[in-house]
Amino acid sequence: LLTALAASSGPLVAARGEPVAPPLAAELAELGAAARLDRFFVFSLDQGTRERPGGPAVVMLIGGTEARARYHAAVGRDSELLPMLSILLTQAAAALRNAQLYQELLDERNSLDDKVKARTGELSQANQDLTVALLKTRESERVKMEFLANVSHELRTPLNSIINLPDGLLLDFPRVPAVTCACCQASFALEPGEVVAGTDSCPTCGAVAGFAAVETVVYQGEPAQTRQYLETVVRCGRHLLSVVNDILDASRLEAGRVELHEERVELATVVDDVSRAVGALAAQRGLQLVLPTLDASQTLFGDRVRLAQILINLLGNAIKFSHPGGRVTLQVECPEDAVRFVIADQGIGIAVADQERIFESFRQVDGGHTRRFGGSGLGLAITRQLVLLHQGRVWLRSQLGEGSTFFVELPRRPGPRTAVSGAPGGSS
Amino acid sequence: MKPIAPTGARPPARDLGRRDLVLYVEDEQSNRQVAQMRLGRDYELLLASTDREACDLVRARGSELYAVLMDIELKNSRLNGIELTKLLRGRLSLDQVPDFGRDLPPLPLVPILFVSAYGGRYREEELLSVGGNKLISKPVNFVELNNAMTLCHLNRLRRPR
Repeated sequence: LLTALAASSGPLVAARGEPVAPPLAAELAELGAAARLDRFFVFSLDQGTRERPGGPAVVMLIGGTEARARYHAAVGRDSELLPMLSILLTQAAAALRNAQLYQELLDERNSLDDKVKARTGELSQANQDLTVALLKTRESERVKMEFLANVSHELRTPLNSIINLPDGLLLDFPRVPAVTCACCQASFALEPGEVVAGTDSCPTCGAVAGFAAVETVVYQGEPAQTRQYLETVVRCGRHLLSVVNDILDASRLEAGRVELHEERVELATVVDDVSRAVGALAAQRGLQLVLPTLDASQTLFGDRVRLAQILINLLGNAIKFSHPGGRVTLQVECPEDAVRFVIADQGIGIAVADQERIFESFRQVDGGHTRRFGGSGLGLAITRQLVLLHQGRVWLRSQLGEGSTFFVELPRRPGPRTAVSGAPGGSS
Repeated sequence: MKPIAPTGARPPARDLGRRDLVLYVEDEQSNRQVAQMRLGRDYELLLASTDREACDLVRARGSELYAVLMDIELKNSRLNGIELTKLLRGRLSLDQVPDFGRDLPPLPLVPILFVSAYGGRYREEELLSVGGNKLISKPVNFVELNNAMTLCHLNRLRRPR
């Protein structure tokens, strides 16, 4: 019976196993519609007889298309059926509504779960993509560094011969005694028997102290031209080497592969290193190089080699872009908790519009400058990166034609280092 | 007194009577040539182009060595400069020792200076940890190299390894 009932269609199917009388069916259908029930069944398992009323009716309600509920109620007689059904249906509708809401709630929760799962899936996919991308980046970074190391090797190997063989040949030329100015590094050949006194001043830079202190030998003699050619090869080889070093340095700095070897550094030793490196260049160009005299108490926490590199780059530029006879100065100022290097020249100057660009890689003010003034165009980019590694800053003040002044300010004791990316680089 | 163009200062000449013995392991012919020219006048130079030649020379004259100059990447060799250094220091695991490297006289004290053109590929700390004493980069600055060899000897006397 139950199966038969369930299989039948229509709003009201059966009561007491028989088709419900049409008026009653219509009323029940109305009740059902009011209670928003799609289908319901009323039946009784005990049909009873004429003399004896049947057992309690069982009402089965099916509401909505998805929500299901079974509602049992005892109905004594036919006359009680309708009001009883009315109450029943109202309650059943409420129950069904609740069930529906509950179902919706469940669905909502499930769909939320699904959304969260989907989102989590997307996120983990994104994470995975990122990891893959990172690995790819690391891999390409590694390949790049490997390539650089190979390029370095291929460039340095021939330079070893280019620089050292002619330099060795120069050793065979007769040498004359000479003195070198401790200030500007200019060399002067001594006539036989000529003696330089400690009170003599240097003809190039005018310094007195230390001028006679350095005695050296300088190669001279015939054939002079051969000697000059050899010197040119050595000089050009060294220049090429400096360009190679700049390119490799800039690449490593950009990849975050340079690590500072920080220690307490006496500024005087840095200035000594700088003087040795650029003194001769200034003298050659007929420039007056003015370096500060510092006492041992003036120190800075940093990488001695890299600090010197910063100053050599800036002084080298100052010398390169100066007019002959001009003056290049390095001053050291000590504002609180910092050291400020001031590098000033009286050279060609830099237009305000160009002042930010010159710190970018491979830039001189215009393409023509690179050809006119030589150099890799990387010096300032390297300088800025090295200053940033020291947690300092670099800036300049300049006007076209009025010379340039560069400022480098470094903290005496840098704060805790923020993560330096990449593996530590080695000495080269 | 007249101004002259400056050039590199020449390292002080060494006593020509008794020259110290230096072994240079270097696969690149041009680099061996440069070393012969620039070190040959101050040192008695032994040149090896492979690990095998290096071992033969060490077996023959290891006890007289003043210093070893060691290229790192070696063509036509089974061991690179780092492994060869380990071998000379007796730190190479036995299964890695090639037949021509057996029974070498130990060189615990002779300074070994790495000479490499691979800027940045090798870290000096790493090279010192395998028994090296110094990393010199190519192109070689021979003033620096001479100073380094002298310094390594001074350090050796001060603090035996």
